[in-house]
Amino acid sequence: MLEIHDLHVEIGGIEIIHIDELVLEPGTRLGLVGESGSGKTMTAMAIAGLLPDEAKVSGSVRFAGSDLLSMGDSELSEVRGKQIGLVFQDPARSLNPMMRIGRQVSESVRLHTDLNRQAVTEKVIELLGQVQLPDPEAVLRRYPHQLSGGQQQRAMIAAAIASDPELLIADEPTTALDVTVQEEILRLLIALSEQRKLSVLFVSHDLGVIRFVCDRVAVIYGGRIIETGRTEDVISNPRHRYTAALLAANPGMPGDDNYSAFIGRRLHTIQGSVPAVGNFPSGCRFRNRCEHATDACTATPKQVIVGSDHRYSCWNPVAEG
Amino acid sequence: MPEPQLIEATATNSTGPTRPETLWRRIGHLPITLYIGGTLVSLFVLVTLVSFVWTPHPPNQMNLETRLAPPGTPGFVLGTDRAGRDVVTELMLGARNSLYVSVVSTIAAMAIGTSIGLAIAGSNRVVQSASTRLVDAGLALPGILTAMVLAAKLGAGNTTATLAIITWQVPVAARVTIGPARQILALDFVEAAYGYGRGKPYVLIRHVIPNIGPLLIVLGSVMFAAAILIEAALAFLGVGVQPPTSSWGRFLNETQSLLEAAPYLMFFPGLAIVLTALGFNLLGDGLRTVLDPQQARSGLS
Repeated sequence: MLEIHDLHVEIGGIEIIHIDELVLEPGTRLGLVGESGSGKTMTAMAIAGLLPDEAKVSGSVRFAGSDLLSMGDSELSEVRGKQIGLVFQDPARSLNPMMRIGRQVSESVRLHTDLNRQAVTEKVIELLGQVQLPDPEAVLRRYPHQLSGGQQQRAMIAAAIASDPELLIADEPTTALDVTVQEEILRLLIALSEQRKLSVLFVSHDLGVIRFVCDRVAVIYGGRIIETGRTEDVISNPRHRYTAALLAANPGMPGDDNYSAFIGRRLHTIQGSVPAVGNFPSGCRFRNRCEHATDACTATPKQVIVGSDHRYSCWNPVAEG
Repeated sequence: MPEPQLIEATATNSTGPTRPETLWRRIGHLPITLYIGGTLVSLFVLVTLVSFVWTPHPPNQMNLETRLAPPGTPGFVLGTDRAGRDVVTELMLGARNSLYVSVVSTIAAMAIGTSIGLAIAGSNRVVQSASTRLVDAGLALPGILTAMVLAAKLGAGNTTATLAIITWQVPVAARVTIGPARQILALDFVEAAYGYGRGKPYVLIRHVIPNIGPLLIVLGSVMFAAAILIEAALAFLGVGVQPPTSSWGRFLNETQSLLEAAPYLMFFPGLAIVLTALGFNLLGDGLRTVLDPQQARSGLS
């Protein structure tokens, strides 16, 4: 459904993203996980075609049978606007404070269909019901500030699925919400994706959230996908040293089997911080922060496939567990 | 992996306050500047409107027998000028010209200036920094000098005054618009609108303008005050409206030669100019306090 091959994104002559392959099957949920600055949002925005003008994008992003990168602007905005829905991190910033909810939710419906006013309103009420907002007729006429954060994010999700897209890109959709609301929104996304056979590209830095939501996960570091596979495989048996370090730094969610093991213990940290764009070391991009780096790591790691679909690129991987 | 299931959404904050209620509650808490400014501006507009149906004496009626009558003379509350014209009538007619020039020039300058500002804010980085510098250069142009050049080309009159005010104010409006418009353009709902497939013009008009609306209202009232001052200044210098049309600025100029005979006379047009400009400035200040959410919140709590 969505297939990325050899995607390069360059800004100011510096390569920010280089993804050899990333595939999202229809009706599945793929998690894109990494630290701040790892390029996960950039990748999502490259797919949505929302990178700043100065970004140079090359490669191929095939979506629903056509190549998004070779399309003209008008064609692209038609496909992208109708077939790709977007949910952002902070609902308070992604809803226009001066516009009623009904108008914002109906934006893509009004743009991509020729329903009359009455039909649009009915559609919006139906959508608001689907994202489980109480009293949709009243919400329709409200302004964003009259809704809570969770309700705002529900409205944003309603807007994103309004034109019945096949792909939903959710960029950290719960980061700005508190934990109880977070779980409700995640459950809503899962339910919508299953009811509508909607593919979801879920961007997050939180492996706990990814595990809750996604069928497959791609771990990204320095603009490269360093490990990918079925979520359970990657999380229960990470092979790349970076994935393992990320997992060790994650306390998990309350209710997890091993959650209590973290209580009262110091979390593992990854030393240093993500280098500035352009300052990554040669070879394995993680080697300057990796506790297990060897001399071999100065060469670019080759991709290794284990099992059916678990791939990683590491010279000194974690032993198979 | 937990079984996904739909759970009941929590209904918080479902009855937000309705707008009229909020406004009504706020009336007692509105800043004093808003009241003073509002009163002065209303008075100015009212006087102008009344002048069309009634003035104490017919416009431009001269009476050499009652020249330079002091204030309080029966029939002439504020006295008469050098040609025996009633001062109150002159001031009312001057208000008319002042309002006319200010309205036309402010609306035009706002429309042109904010459009330029929005276009610059929406353009790419190179165009943006180049054209912002150009606007800065426009800001540095001495307005009075521009007016003089225009007057030399077009001759003195209201058209010259109006054009001078517009060229003076357009860079101001553009410069003030660029920054806030860029801030709005950086927000996610703009990104979302592009995501739906909307183009830049739609985003600028439907998303950016409403969100910088409060700023534009304040800007408009401050520019109005400036327009009144400039109109008076140009008329004073003889570049503005010509006789027999009355104008505060020219009235003020005429009182110059009467400094010994009737020194009090200059206060009337001077006070009219000061109070009107002050009114619009205070109004703008009051509106800024009310419309700026941060200041409004601290003012209300």
